[in-house]
Amino acid sequence: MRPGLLFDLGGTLWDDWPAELEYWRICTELLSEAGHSCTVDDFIRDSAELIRRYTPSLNRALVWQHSGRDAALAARIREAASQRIWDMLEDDDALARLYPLWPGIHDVLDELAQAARLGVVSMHGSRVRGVMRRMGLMRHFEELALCDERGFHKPDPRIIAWTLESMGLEATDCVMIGDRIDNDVHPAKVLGLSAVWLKVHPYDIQEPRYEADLPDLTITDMRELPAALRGGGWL
Amino acid sequence: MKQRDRLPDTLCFDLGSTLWDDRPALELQWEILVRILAEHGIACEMETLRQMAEEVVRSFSPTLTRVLVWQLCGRDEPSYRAIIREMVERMLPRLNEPKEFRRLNPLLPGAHETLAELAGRHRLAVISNNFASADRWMEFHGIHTYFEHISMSGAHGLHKPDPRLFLRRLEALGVEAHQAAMIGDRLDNDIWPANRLGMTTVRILQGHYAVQQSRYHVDEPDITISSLPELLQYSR
Repeated sequence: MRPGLLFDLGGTLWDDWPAELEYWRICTELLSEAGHSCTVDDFIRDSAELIRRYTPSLNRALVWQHSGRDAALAARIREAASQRIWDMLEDDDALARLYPLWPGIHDVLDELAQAARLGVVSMHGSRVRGVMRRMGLMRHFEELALCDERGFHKPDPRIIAWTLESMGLEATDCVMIGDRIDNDVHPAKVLGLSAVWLKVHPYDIQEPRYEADLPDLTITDMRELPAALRGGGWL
Repeated sequence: MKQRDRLPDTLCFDLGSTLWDDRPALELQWEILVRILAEHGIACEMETLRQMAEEVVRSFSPTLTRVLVWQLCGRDEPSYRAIIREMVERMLPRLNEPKEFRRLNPLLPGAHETLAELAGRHRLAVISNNFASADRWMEFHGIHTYFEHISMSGAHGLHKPDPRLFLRRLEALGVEAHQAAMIGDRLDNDIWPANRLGMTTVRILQGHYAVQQSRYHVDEPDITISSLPELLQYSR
């Protein structure tokens, strides 16, 4: 039976950081307009502490903390900022600039798709489908589990469990690949999958806290993935 | 929609630092741990454990002592498992003896009276990582009669903060999430999953986890109390 490889999206297939900075620029502008003065540098500084505290959603936390802990205001600002980012992403040049694919990612996924079945488990909403289509990524994947469509948010293991069931895969035949210890590696290990940690900025400062956080493999570049999976006996 | 300002029909309680003070038990567990570590050639003092524990609490780690052991034995799987096993073996007899259990885990002030009062108005249940021992421990304190003893089936192998553990318990109780409250001391293991599922959430500021600060709105309890009798104010 062909193994299942489940991929996170942002930070794993593409570098999330340029889009994150743009999103933070818009959020801090909107927060400042609402009387909660703050800068992108504040967000960058605070993000390190939030990542070390394994905060499930960095953006939700940053905006909430800087809004005077006003959940309704924070939600409005996040929605407005997301809308502006998605509008920007309509432009192909902006898409390439904000979501730069990791080098060699198409070759890696093409190679893996010959020996395995590929799926996606992401915190992104439905709108990411169109973006993935334009980046040529959709063809690689059989199934996409997106948080807003499924109603589960990482690190809730049920979003991975749903994907396994939808693809007809057993946990022990699958590997989760992601850039976060808390949201990717931990729930995968809890369910009995193997896990590969792509240790890249900004989540590279997370450390496994105990055995349930421990990835089976750690890589620092997606181009290492096929050989790493073969070496570990998964392919 | 869940209730945000009063308690619903069903109340689910965490145990340690919620119904009883488990700090004396933790203190003993760490004393035992320091001895076992020494036997394994790992030098470590109580003070080091305390400092490490503060960091573990801040990192929202699902478990405390396991993390300490894992880090202290250099992430070496075999010695980690051996040390945890030895620690549990030496600790369990102390917890299986009613008088000693009560000394190591004294009920929080007003627990009996509050539970007696609440049991007349609500259904009380437990959501804990220690299902195997929970019934016996509550019996040692004489509070087991206030609680519904529902089947543990389906909850095996699940640990907080996995929302599936909470769902299995709610299913066993036959209630929807919005009809139940979770009462516990930890933002990460009690409040976060219960909020995610739509339960009413009550944080009790007790023990080591009282220092935890909300990271984002999903960590925010609907109600915060510092002692159990305060729960009665929110009861119908």
